Parts: sequence; C-alpha cells; structure tokens
Amino acid sequence: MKRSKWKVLLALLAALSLVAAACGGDDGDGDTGGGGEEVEKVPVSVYFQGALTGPYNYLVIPSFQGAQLRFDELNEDPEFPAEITLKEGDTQGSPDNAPPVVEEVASDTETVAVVGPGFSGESAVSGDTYNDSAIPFISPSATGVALAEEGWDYWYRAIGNDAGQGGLGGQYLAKEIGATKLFVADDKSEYGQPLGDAVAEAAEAEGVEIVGRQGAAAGADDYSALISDVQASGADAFYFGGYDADFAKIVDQAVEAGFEGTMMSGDGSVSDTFIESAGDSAEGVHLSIPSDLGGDFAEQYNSEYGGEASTVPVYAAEGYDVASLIGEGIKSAIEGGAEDAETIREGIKEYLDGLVDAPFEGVAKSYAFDPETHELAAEDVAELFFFYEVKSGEMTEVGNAVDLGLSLEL
Amino acid sequence: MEFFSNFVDQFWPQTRNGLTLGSIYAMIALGYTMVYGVLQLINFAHSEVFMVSTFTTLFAYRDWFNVVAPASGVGLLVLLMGGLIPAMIFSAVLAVLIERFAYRPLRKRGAPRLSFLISAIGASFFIQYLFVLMDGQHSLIFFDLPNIAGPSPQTVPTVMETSTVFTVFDTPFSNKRVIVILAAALMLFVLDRFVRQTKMGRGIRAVAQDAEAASMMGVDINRVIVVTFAVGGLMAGAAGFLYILVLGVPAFWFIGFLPGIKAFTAAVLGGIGNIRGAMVGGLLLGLVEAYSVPLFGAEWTDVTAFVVLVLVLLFRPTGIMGEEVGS
Repeated sequence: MKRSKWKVLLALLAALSLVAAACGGDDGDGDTGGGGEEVEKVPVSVYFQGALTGPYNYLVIPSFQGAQLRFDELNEDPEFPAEITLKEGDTQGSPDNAPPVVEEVASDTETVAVVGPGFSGESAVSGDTYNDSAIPFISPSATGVALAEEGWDYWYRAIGNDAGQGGLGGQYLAKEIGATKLFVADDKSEYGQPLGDAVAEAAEAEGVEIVGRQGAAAGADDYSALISDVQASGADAFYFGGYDADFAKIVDQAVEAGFEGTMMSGDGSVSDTFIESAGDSAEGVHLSIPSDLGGDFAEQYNSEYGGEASTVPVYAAEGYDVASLIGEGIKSAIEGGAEDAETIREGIKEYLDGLVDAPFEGVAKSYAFDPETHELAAEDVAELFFFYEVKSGEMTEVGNAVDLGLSLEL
Repeated sequence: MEFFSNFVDQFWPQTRNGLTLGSIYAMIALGYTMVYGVLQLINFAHSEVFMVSTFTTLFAYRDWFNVVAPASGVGLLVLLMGGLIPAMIFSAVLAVLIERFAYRPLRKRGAPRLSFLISAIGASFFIQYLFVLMDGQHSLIFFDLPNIAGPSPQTVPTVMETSTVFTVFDTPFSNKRVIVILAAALMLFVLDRFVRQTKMGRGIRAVAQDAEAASMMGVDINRVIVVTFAVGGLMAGAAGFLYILVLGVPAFWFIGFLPGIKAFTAAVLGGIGNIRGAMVGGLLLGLVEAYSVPLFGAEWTDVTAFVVLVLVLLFRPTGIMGEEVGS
C-alpha cells in the first residue's frame, strides 16, 4: 500500500518535470551570429519590459519587434563586442504584474540594460529597483510626466512627454477641430488621468468650455452610462486619456449610441488593437503621439516582419533606436575596458549622459538627454508630436504639431 | 444641486442603460443563486461559465459562420440563433463538468464547506489560465493545447447593424438593447415557470428546502444538482452571448470576472438562494450603477453599488426578497 503511493508520487514528479521541460524551451538559444572570429563576444542580457500579451499588447509589440530587429543586427555584426540576448519581461502593461518581472531582471547577473517599461504605471512601480540596482532603463513609449520627477539617475525617455502631448492636444481640439464644448474622460491610470487633466487645462486656456470631466476604470466593458453623460452634456468633442482596448470600446459604444461629436485620444490609443476592435466606428477619430508613424523605418519594419508586423507601427522606430543606444553604450563600455555586467551598465549610463554633447542619430530622430531630467532633449518640443485621423481604417497623418501652428509656451 | 439636475436630465437614458446591464446581471445571478439554493455553496467558477460563452460566440461567428459583414432579415435571425444556442450549450456543459469534477467528489466524501469554497476558486483559476495557455503554443504533458483563446482579447465579428427601434422620453432604444431586455425577460419568465410548475422544478425546490427529506421522498438528488448547474449554465451562456452582442466587446479570458462579481452581488442583494430575488437584485444593481454616473461620477460606480449592498443588508440581512428558497 505504502509502496504504491510512493510510485504514484514518483510518476507525478516525473510528469511534472516533463511539463517543466516542455515549458522551458526559451533557454540557451543565444548562440546565433558570430561569423567572424575577430572579437570574443561578451554575453549580456537586455530585458524588454512591457505588455507583450494581454489587452494592450499591440501598443508595445511593435517597439519590442523594433528592438529585436536591432539586436539581431548587432549580434550578426562580427565587430560588435557583445552577444546580446533580448529577454521578455511581460507585464501585460499592469503595474500589478511588474514587481516579479523587475525582480527577475535585477537578479539576472548578465543584465546590462532594460528597454522599457512600456507604460507609465508600470514604470512608476519598477523604477526604484532598477535605479537602486544601477541598471539603465530607457522607455521607448512611457509618456507620464511624473516619471521625470522621480529623480532616477538611470532612467531615460526616448520620446516627448504628456505635458507636451496634453498641451498640444488641447490646442489641437480648439484650433484644428474647432471644439467648443469638450468632455474629458480618463482611465484613472498613472498615464491617463494626468494626460486628461493636461488636455482639459490647455483646451480651457484656448477658450473651450469643459462640460464634463470623468474617470472610468480601465478594463470595464460597458461604458454606456458614461456615454449617456457625455451626450447629456452637449459636448461636441470628447477626449479620452487612456489605452487602446478601452478607448475602442468607448468609441464603438458612443457611435452606436448616436454620439456625433469628434472623439480624440493620445498615444495610448494609437494601435492596431484600436483600429481593429473599434472597426468602422473608429472613422474620424483623432489621435496624437510623440512619434512619426510614417517615418522611413516603417518600411524596413514591414519588410522584416511581413505578416507579423503590426499595421500601426507604434514606437517601432523608437524601439529600434533605443536598442541602438544600448548597443552603442555596450560597445563604448567594452571598448573602455568594461568586462562584466556591472561595469557595462556604468558604461552605458556614461554613454547616454554624454549624448548631450554629441547626439545619436537614430532612424526616428536624434537622441540626447537633458542632464537634469533625462527627458529627450529637443530644440522645440512641439516638433516631436504628430497628429493622426483614422480614415478608411488607417492612421492618416494630419500633420506635425509645428506645421499645424501649435506651440508650447512653457 | 448640479448633480441632481444631471440626474433628472439623464434619468431615461440611464434607466435604459441600467435595465440592459441589469438584465444580464440577473441572468448570471440565477446561476449563483440556484446553486446556493441546492448546495449552500457559492460557485465562484460561474464567471468562467460566462466567459466560455463569449468564446463560443466568437467561434460561431468567426469560424463556423465566417461572418464578415452584418446581416439582416432571416440571415440575421439564423446568426443570432446560431450564436445563442451553442453559447448556451457549451456553458451548460462546462457548468456540469465543474459540478462533476470540482464539487461532486467533495460531496461524496462529505467534505467541510470550506473545501468547496477553495475548490470553487481553484476551478475558476484553472479554467481561466487554461484559456490563457490555449494559444496554440503550449502543451499539457502529452497534448498540444489548441489555439482557442490565449492571453489577449479577440474581436468578435459584428453580426448586426445598430438601429433605433423606438424612442421613449427622447431616449432611443436600439435594436440590440431591445433584444437583450426581451430575451432576458423571456428566459427569466421561462425559468421561473420551470422551477415553479414542472416536476424537476419541484425537485429543485424540495432539495433546496431539505435535501435529506427530499431524497427520502424519492427525489434523485444528484440528478437535481446536475440539472441545477445545467440551467444556471444555460442562463450564463445566454448572458455571455447578449453581453457580446450589445457591447461589442472582444472575447477575453478575464471577461467573466467583473460581471461575475457583480452578478454575485446582485444575488446577495436580492436574497441569495431566492430566484426572483436574483432577478430583482440584478436589475436593481444595473440601475444603481447607471444612475451613479450622473449623480456622483463614473469613478464612484462601484462604490455606490457596494454602499447600496451594505445598506440593504444592514436593514434586511437576508436580502430584498429574503432567503426563502423552496417556496
């Protein structure tokens, strides 16, 4: 009797180990490139933290693909002194899922840098650990203003922030759309709420009447009650600070309910998911983003990824550029004598800080970081922002903020 | 008093919104309340029964009917039935499976009530994460899991164009909302008659009143329990289908969580174990949530709903309609 129980236990253990073996297939496939034997490549890990799965994944997958593309190129380059393994830190975009990912990144002794975190909420809960561990982390997509005020030495932002996006967005609604009564809602997130506030403030300064300001929890399904409130307010324009999956539901349900005003959102809704999920209802929706979706890199991205490319290459170029920055940093670190992950991290930071004097020309734009805030340095911040309108199911460029005559008087 | 004038302005549209969502809550709540009636157990895996119906609807429209554009007339009727019926069947099957594997073994061994609770939560997690892993890239020991769900939401094709059927007090009612409200009313009515007038319904009521006595009087308890789970599953299945139809949201492994919690709340509000209570509780909760938006703001929706729940339970600890199950 007792013996048979042991056998069952053994069999169970064996089965479990089989499952574990089946699941853990991602390890150890780092030995790809390296044709020329000129340099001994130093093995390093770079993590990508963001929503690689879940409702908001198409906001982040393009930048992951961009980064992957660049790291593959670097690994194939025989003169590049390191072998970079890009590892996935999937948080589904939620701050709740971030801590275990951050823990994994920080405890990996080969980690030299992080691409991400993708969203502002997860950045807020991840930053302290990265900063304390002296791991450079560069976000290609998180726009929350408050992140720059955390005082993280190792944090960098490769795009414009929501002070710019909100300010210009409010002006755009007033001048370009001609809104007179604006209703602003947000998803109560670290990203959406301040963005909504900034848009409302800027629009009000332009003489637009704010007829409503609401916060509705992300991840809900029924927004009818909010939409009835928007309709009753007499708004001719509606702005949502939040992410694509939620904005798609709102837009779809608002059109069904007969709302005829102009709807607009920020970079959090610029994605394939928004276009696909909102379908025909997305027509005529306006969006802003601190990135040029139609840049030269878009073609390369599409030809590399073919059918797997997202139809909206949101921050794909920035993902590629952040990977380039990290690659350059690793190179300069190793050339400067760095040998292990810790010294490489320091070398990357030195390289990034040094860009102020000699900016790096990426595929999207040129990169240099403000020595104080580590925000992307730009002569005119408004230049970083682009506006789009959905026409025939595609993001169609309306124009760059500067060309549209919008400016930030800070 | 601005908030009050808002409320007056929006009374009818919000009533419409509340009735739509409330009907769906009521249909899900029935599953909780009936199972509680016969087993004195909260079936926390019921939200997954709801979730499965949204995926069934997705499959019906995307893969079986290959819907590319909204239909009308007879074609639409076929599509609606073609989505609704499989959704109800698959949900009922899952509900019965949950009973068979998560509860019956415990019942046979006379396990304490706490074990049932843990088993319920475990079944819920198991089903949710099974759907996450069913993305065509994972295998379970020897089986490759099929590509059914995965971790990201999947858009369900639209089968029906929205149009306004009638307008009451300047409030347009769309065809989808009318379908949801009528379908829910019809199903709740049929269920009520089933429980009150059929032999099986009498069996359910008898088991709910006193399982031991019912079994001595010749009621097959196991059969009654299976039927109870199946009926709850049918209702949740229909609710999931209508939810997708009216809100146009994608199918998602986590989609059952919020409606499930809300429907459970509705069941408690109406009086857990009481079938008509679940209906009243569902509608009331839907209305409270909708009215809370003009009154206090969208961020207060859940707070308002639960304050109402606490207030009701303070004055009527057994819920609005009381806990009477058998009568």
